[in-house]
Amino acid sequence: MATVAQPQVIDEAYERSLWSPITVWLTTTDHKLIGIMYMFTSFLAFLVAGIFALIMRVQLAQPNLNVVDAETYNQLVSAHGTTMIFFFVTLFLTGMANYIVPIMVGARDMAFPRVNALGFWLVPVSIGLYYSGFFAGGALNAGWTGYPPLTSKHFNPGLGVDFWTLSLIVWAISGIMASVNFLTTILALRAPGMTLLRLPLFVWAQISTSLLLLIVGAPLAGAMILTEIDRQFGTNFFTSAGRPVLYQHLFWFFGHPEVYIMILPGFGMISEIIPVFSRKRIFGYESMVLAIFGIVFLSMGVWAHHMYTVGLNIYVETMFMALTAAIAVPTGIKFFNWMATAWQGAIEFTTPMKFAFGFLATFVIGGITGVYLSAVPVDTQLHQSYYVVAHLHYVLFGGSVFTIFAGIYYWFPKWTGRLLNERLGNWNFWTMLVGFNGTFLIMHTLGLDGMPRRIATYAREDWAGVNFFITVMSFLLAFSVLLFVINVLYSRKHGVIAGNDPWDGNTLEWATTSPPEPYNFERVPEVRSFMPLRDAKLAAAGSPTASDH
Amino acid sequence: MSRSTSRPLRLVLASLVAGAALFVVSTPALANGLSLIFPDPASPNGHNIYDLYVWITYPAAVVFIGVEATLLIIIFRFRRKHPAQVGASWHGSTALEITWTVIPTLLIAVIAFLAFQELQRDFSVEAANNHPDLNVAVRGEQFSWSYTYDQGFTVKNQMVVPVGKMVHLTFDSTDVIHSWWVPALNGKTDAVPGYTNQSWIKVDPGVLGSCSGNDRHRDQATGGCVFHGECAELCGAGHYSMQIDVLAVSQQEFDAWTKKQQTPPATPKPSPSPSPSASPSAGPSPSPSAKPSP
Ligand code: HEM
Ligand SMILES: [Cu+2]
Ligand SMILES: [Cu+2]
Repeated sequence: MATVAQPQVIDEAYERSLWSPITVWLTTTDHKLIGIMYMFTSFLAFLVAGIFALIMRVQLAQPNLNVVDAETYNQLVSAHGTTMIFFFVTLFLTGMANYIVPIMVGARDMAFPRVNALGFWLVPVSIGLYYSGFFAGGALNAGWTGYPPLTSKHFNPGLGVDFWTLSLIVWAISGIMASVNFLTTILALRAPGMTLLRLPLFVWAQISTSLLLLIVGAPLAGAMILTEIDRQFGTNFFTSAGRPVLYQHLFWFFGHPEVYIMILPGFGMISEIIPVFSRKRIFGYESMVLAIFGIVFLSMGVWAHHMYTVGLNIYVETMFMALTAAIAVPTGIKFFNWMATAWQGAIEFTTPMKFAFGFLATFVIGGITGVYLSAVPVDTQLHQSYYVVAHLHYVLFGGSVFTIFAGIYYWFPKWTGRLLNERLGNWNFWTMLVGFNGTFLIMHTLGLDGMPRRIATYAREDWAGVNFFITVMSFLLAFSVLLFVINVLYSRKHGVIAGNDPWDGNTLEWATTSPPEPYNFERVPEVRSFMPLRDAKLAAAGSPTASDH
Repeated sequence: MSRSTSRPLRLVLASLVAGAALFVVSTPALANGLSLIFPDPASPNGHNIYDLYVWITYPAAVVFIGVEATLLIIIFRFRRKHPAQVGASWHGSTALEITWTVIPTLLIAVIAFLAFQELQRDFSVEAANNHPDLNVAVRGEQFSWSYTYDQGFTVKNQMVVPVGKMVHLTFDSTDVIHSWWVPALNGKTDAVPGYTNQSWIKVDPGVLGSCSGNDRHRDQATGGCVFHGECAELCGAGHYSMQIDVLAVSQQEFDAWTKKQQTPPATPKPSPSPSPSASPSAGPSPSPSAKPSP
C-alpha cells in the first residue's frame, strides 16, 4: 500500500439514512440496514445477559449469600445462557454476514430481500416472547437446555417454559429463513468469475453455518413443539411416563451443531483478518475449505457427548467419543494454517489483529479442555461442573466473542465510514483478555474440585477465595465491554474517516464506498481469484495477479 | 499507524500483569487446599479416571505450550518493520499439512483408545455387577437422596458403606432428573425417572486411617470417613441444597449399623452419627423459595 487511502466524505444520503425516521428502518429491505438492525438488537441482548451474569457472580462471590433467591438464580442462569447463545452470538453473526456476505460475493442485495426483513423482524418477536416470562410470573428456570421432566407442567406450572418454547420456535423459523437466503445468495448471485473456489473463506464459513442451521433448526423446533404439546395436551413424549432422554437427543442434535454455528463464522473472519494484517496469502486455502466441511459433517455425529452420564451403552459412547475427539483434527488444521499464514508475514497489530491473536491464544484452551471432555470416563467427573462452565466460556467467549470483536473492529469502518479509535481499542482488548482469563481460567479447578454448575449458592469455605477472585475479574471483563461501547459511541461521530479501503484489504467489500451505496457497486467487478481486490491492485501496479484460482 | 514501538513492551507488561493475577488467584486457592485436579480418589474407578486425566495432560500440555510459544514467536519476530514491507509469498506445503493432520489424529486415537479401555474396565454393566457384596438403590427426589439396602430398609441423607467391599449402585428418580456425584469415588450417574442406571464403588480401606481433604471429614462416632458430593443436574429451586454424604466404615461398624436399621420401632434416626459441624449437608442458608407443587 504505497498510498494512504484518500479520506472521503461519507455519502450524505446514506449518513442521513442511519438517522432516518423510524419508518425507514421499519420498512427497509436493504441487507445492510437489516444487518445493522440484527447487530444492534443482539448487542443489546448481550448487555442484558452480561448484567445477569454480573448479578450471578455477585451472588456467588461468597458462600451462603442471598443476593437473589434460588428460584431467581435459576431464572437468571437460564436467561443468561439462552440470551447469549440464541439472541446474541448467533444473531450478531447473522447480522455481520447479512452486511458483508452479499458485498463479498459482489451481489447487490440478498436473494430474497423481503424474506430477509421478515427473518429479522421475527427476532424481536422471539426475544419479546422469552422475556415476557419475567412479567408473567417467572421466566424459564431449567437452564438454557431446559431438560424435561423439569420443564413439564407438573414440575413447572408457570408460563415461563411456554414463553421459552414459543420463543425458540420463532427463533428457529427466523434462522431457517436466513439460512435459505444466504445459501441462495451465495449460489446464485455471485459476481462474474467468482467460482466456488474463489469464494472468500468468510463466505465459505457462512455456507457451512447456514447448512447446519438449515439441518438442525427443525429438530430444535420439533423438541420445543413436543415439549409444548406435553404441557398443553397431557401427552407423554418427554414426561417420566415417556422418554425424558429422547428430548436430550433432539435438543443436542441441534445443540452441538449450534456450537459450530456460533464459531464457524468467527473462523471465517479470522481467515480474512490474519492474511490482511500479515500481508501474506492465507496458508492452504483448499484445506481450509475442506476442514470447514470436515467440521460440519462431524459436528452432526457427536451430540451424545452431552449425555455420557444418562446411561448409554458403552459402545455407543465410544462411537460418540471417537467422532467428538476427531473434530480436533480439522479444527487443528485450521489453527495451524492460521499460524502458518502469520509466520513470516509483515504483521501490523491493529485492534482487529490483536483480537484475532487473542482468539488464537484463548480458543486453544477451550479446544484442549474439549478433548478432556470427549473422553467418556473423564467427562463423567467433569460433566455439569464448573469445569464445563469454564470450557464453554473459553469456546464461546474466547472463541465466538473474540472473533466478533475482531470482526467489528475490522468492518466498523465499512459500516459507518469511520474507524474505531485505536487507543480505546487497545484498552478494550487488554482489559478483555485479562478480565476474561481471570474470570474463567481458575474456574476449571472449581469443577475439578466438585463444584456443580447451576447452583444458586454453596457452603464450602475453601471455594470462597477463588469465587471471590472470579467475581472481581468478571467486573474487569464488564469494564472492557463498557470501553467498547464508549468507543462505538465516540467513533461513530468523531472517528478517523476510513475511506474505501483502510486496511489494504483483499476482498470486494473494500472495493466500494464506506458505507456502500444501497446498490453496493456501481459496476460489479470481475473476479479472478479469492482475493479480487488484491488482484486489481496488483494489476494496477503492473504485477502478475496473485492467484490462478 | 506507526505507534508500534511501545507494543512489545506493552505485551510484556500485560503478560506480567496476567502472571501476577494468576499468582494472586492460585495463592488463596492453594492455601485453602483447593486441589488443582480432582480430590484424592478413594475407589478403584475414581483412581482410574484420575490416571486417565493425567495421561491426557501430557499431550495437552505439549500442544498448549507449543501453540502459545509459536504465537509469541510470531508476535515478536514477524512484525512489520517498515510501511511497505510485505509478507513471504509461500502459502502452502503439502508436507506440513499432512504432518499436522496425521500427528493430531494419532494422538486423538491413543486418547480414545485409553478411554475406551477404561470404559470397558469400569463402566460396563459387567463391571457394575462383578460379584457385588452389597446393593444399594439410590433414589433422587426433589430435594434429597434416599438409599435402599438389600436388607430392605431405606435411609435418607447419608449413605453408609463398608470399606473394601464392592457396592453395586442403582439409580432412579421419583420426579425430575438428578445426578449423583461424589468426586472422590466415581464420576456422576444420572438418576432419571422411568428407568434405572447403575454403577459401583469400592472404597479404599486406607480411608479409615487417613481421611483428609476438603471434600471429606472423619466421623467421630464410627471412625469412618465421610465423602461429600452434590447433585449435579439442575432439578429445581432446591438443587443447590441437594447434598450427598457417603460414610465409609469398617465391616464391623457397618454390620452394627445395619442391625440398628433393621430393628423396627425404636430408631427414628436415619443415620448413625449426625455430624453437624463439618458437613454442609443441611444446606446453605437461603431456602428454596419456590416449592414446585406436587
Ligand atoms: C460478561 C461475561 C460473562 C460472565 C461473567 C459469565 C458468567 C456466567 C455464569 C456465572 C454462569 C452460570 C454458571 C452456573 O451457575 O452454572 C454462566 C453460564 C453460562 N454462560 Fe456466561 N458469562 C459471561 C459471558 C458469556 C458469553 C459471552 C456467553 C456466550 C456467548 C456465555 C454463555 C453462557 C452459557 C451458555 C451458560 C450456561 C447457562 C446454563 O447453565 O444454562 N456467557 N456464565
Ligand atoms: Cu457438543
Ligand atoms: Cu439437583
